[in-house]
Amino acid sequence: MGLLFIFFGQLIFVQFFRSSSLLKLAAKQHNYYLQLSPDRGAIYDRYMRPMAVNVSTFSLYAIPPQVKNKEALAGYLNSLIGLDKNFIMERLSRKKQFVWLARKLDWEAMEKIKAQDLTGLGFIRESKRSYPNSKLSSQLIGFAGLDNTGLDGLEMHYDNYLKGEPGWTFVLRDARRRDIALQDVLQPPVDGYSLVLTIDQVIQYIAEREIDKIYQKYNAKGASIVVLDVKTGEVLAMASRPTFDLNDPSSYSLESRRNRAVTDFFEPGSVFKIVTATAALNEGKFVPQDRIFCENGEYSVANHTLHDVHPYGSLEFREVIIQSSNIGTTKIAQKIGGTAVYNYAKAFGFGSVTSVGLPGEVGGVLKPVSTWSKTSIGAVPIGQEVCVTTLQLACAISAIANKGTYMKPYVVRAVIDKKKEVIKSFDPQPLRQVMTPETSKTMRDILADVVELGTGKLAQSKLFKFAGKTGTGQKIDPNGTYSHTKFTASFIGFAPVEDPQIAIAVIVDEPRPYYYGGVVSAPAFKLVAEDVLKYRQASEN
Amino acid sequence: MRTSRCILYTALGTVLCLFYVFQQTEIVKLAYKITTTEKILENILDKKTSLEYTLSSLESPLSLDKNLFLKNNGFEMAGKYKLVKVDKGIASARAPIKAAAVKTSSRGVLFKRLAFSTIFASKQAEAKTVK
Repeated sequence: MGLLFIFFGQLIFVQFFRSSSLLKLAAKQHNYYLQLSPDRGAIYDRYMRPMAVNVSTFSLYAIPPQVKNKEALAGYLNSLIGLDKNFIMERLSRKKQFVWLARKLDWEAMEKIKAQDLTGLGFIRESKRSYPNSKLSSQLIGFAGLDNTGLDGLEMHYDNYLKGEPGWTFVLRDARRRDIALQDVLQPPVDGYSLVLTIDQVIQYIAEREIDKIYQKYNAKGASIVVLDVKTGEVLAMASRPTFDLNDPSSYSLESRRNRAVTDFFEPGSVFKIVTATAALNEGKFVPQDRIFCENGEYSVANHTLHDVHPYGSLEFREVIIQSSNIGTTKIAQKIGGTAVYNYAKAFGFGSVTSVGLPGEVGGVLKPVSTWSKTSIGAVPIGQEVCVTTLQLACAISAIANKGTYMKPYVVRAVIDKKKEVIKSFDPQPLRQVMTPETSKTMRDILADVVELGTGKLAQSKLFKFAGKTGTGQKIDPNGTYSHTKFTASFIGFAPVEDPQIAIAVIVDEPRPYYYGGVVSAPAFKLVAEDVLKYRQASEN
Repeated sequence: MRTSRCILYTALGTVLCLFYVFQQTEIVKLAYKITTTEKILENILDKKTSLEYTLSSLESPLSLDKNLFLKNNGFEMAGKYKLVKVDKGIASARAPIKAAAVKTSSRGVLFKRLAFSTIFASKQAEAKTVK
């Protein structure tokens, strides 16, 4: 009877006085808080071909006290997946209950290890950012780190859209620490949005293939290319050399991760003459048939002597551009005035960022006329004392091709959710009318003649009619003078002349031994333009 | 009378309690099953993603480049004169015929198939070289 009384008393004590503390203890043992990671949004090209996706990977961990023969395990893992023996030994000798041995292994490696059923090892599923095109458009897309945070390129710039919001839940587990699916998710994770780019994977490949060829052929320090849709301002391709593999960015130098098309500026040289010529024609100061005396190759501007590559006597206005005469262009600029050249350069987008939506974009250098020196009128109109980016040049030539309308370049077409519904879309945006459609037509004809008769002959095609302008910019030596060994070879153009669809800018930094834009960059323009137009025709059909 | 009623209530209470325990056990059993199934589903989805990724990598122009163009197999971007345009009108006209053919064949009515093939026999795929 006494025993029953004690038992009953204990029952009451547990039920009424200790229940709350015991409940807490049980909850602590059974429930645990789990953060649910969201899926990072994917990146697609304009036809929804994946350019950046998430793939499940498996991170290998060890519980050191459970591993009996550490040396044998280290040797085994070394032979199975090539992990460094010393590294494994160091990790296993730590006095911890949990150590990482390898992060983000692929399926194959995971299955190899799992098949051996090794004691003291386990896997945790993690999501890894993967890039199916490896080196294609690497600087443009950028990459995400181990924690799936964007570190470069579009991955960084649009990280807020891509990353999503983590969720959380309480998981119930049994005495063997097995999870039991009894509770609903309390706060589900919100997956990141995906990006649809304006980039066309095939055009990107064509551009990269050709830029790679000239980068290697001319032992260049760097190279970049931009392909734009003339009518919309969409960036169809953007590439730089040197480049890197998106799936293994840490193995490459910082140099190769730079998106040179937007981060590097340079003195453009003769390609800038399109600005001077457009200003002269649009202001009504010249017509293409006006004659300009080119001083037989030598002309002095404020005690600074200008030279032409080939000496010319009297040339028509259009011939000045076709033959790329420095003296002729300077004389045109002297007649229209520095302010007009400056204003048109501004209207063409030089000196300010294009806001294309890529990190690290620079605006280049365009000095206001008030700060020009006496020699500036002989320098700025021919592309010296100004600095531009490859993208700015592509936009400028695109404005000429697009009846004088300057379109804002953009690289992201839409932000979409998991159900492919559009969250935000980016549409073509005409920013300003740089010139009249008539001036645009005249400039298109002159630039077509540059390819037919002038310095851009190597851009000629048997299949299509192209137009463009060559440029060979002298780089500046460390002592502040123009170098005679280091050049920037460029070609900017559009195609086809009759109904321009694409604009391309090809820039090669310090090519050797040849350095003329018409020799180095023009052939690459031709090959890219031909293949892109063929591809577009095939797509349309 | 009172004792038997008490026993009856106790038995009823016990049955209800046992039923409750049984129900809870079943719920936990089902939860284990759900967890296992979810893990299997997750694995399958992971494998699917992995395979899709491999497919995208193989379809990537860089991969095709390695396998086709660099081996000098004569592959190149087709020029306009090499393109063949399939007439959209013919293509759309053939769609209902195909659907109807499937329907009739499933019924196994031979004469209907013959009738269709007789009526539409003249409609062949037409290709035009793009000018």
